[in-house]
Amino acid sequence: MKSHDAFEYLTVKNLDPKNESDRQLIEEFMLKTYYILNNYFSDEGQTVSGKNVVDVEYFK
Amino acid sequence: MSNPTLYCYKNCVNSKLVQIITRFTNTKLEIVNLEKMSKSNLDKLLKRSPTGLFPLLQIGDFFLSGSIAIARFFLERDEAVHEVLVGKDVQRRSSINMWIDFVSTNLWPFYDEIIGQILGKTETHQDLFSLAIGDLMQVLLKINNHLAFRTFVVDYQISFGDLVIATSLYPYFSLVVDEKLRANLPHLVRWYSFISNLKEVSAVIGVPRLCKVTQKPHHVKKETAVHQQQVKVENTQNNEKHAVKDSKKEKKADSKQQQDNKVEAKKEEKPKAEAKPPVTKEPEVKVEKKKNPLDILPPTPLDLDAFKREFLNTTDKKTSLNNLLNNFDAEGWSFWYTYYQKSGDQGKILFRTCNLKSNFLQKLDKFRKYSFSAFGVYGTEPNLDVEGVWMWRGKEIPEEVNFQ
Repeated sequence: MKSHDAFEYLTVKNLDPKNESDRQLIEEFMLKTYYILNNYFSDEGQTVSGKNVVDVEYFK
Repeated sequence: MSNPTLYCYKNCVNSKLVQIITRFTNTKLEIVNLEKMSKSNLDKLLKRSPTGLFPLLQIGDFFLSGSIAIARFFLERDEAVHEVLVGKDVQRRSSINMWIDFVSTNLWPFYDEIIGQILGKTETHQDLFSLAIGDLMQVLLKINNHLAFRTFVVDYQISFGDLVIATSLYPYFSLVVDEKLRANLPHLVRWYSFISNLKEVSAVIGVPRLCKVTQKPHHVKKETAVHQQQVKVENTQNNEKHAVKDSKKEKKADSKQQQDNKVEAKKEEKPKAEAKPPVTKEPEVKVEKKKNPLDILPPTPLDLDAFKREFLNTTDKKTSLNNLLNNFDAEGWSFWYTYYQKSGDQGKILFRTCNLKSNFLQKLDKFRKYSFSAFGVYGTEPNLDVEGVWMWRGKEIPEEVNFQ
């Protein structure tokens, strides 16, 4: 994962879909989008990298 | 208590709901058009809005914002009208609230994507425009099916819910849902015609207008207009050239009988005639926009719009994502993890952090056609993070993402 520090507000890191851990990160962010209170199918809310999913939107 | 004043934009659909309710309650409402206010007055007013939003109601020192809240305010002040449009029955009230929630979460979000594009208020994305109309139709079909055996949305008499939905649908029926689309919505059209013809409603929104052809995004219309203008300019140039040639022939015939000095004078005039306004206008019409570097990248087999369509509509998102990753075009696209670097008090209060995320994405609006992402707020108060994963065109960091 390459890190770029050239941005004032944003840290940007390149992800390689062929790399197992990067792919896992992509899947987590892309698939876990339910706000903790709206996840009716589970007692626990969804988490990404150990953090609660609070308010996620797809930038389409 | 002073007379109520409603501050709103002239064509604000939400303010129409308030005006309709005040027609029912016979309330005298003064309406102030925000477009005619000076910026300093507008800023002062905005500070008085509890939510920082319009429409805004003022009665003396009391300020209330949001069309639904203001409409409810007027309803609850008039017991008789409230009894008819809302009532005391808990089930009826809850059903009305359910439909209001439904349109506010499922119908209103399309306003910017569809009506905003048509009116030229938001950036044009033809593909997203088409997608949004498809999604809008799904919502309208649900309401249509609900109305298949009902005259009104709730129970057997008109309710506040009918008025909220009808005013919300007004811009779509006027500009988007044409005859072809309406053919799929017979019950909704029947109901909409009835509600919009009520004298209290038509007095505010005018005679109900059903659109004949779905309007195109503003930018597309503009392009078409420019193209037509170009064709006109070319035609007029051609016509003028023909006219000049014809006049040359006539002048040659006459020139035998004319003196030499007169012929020379005419020759001097000809170049001036050919260089007249239509020719000088041409560069203005053909102004070329600077191309985005992402547009000139080598072609890619990955169809972003097709992927977005499939991924967003499928219930099995994991398979859709796996298909993308397994066949990923790493030469034409790249994946990125992005983390918003907080400063000061950022990330401590939930609603502020959500606004931060939304504002960030808003800045990237032009980048939509080159990217897709899941971007959001994660964590718990007071340790909230704004981060996400992006897929964008090219292998480098595009200038759109650089906010420096």
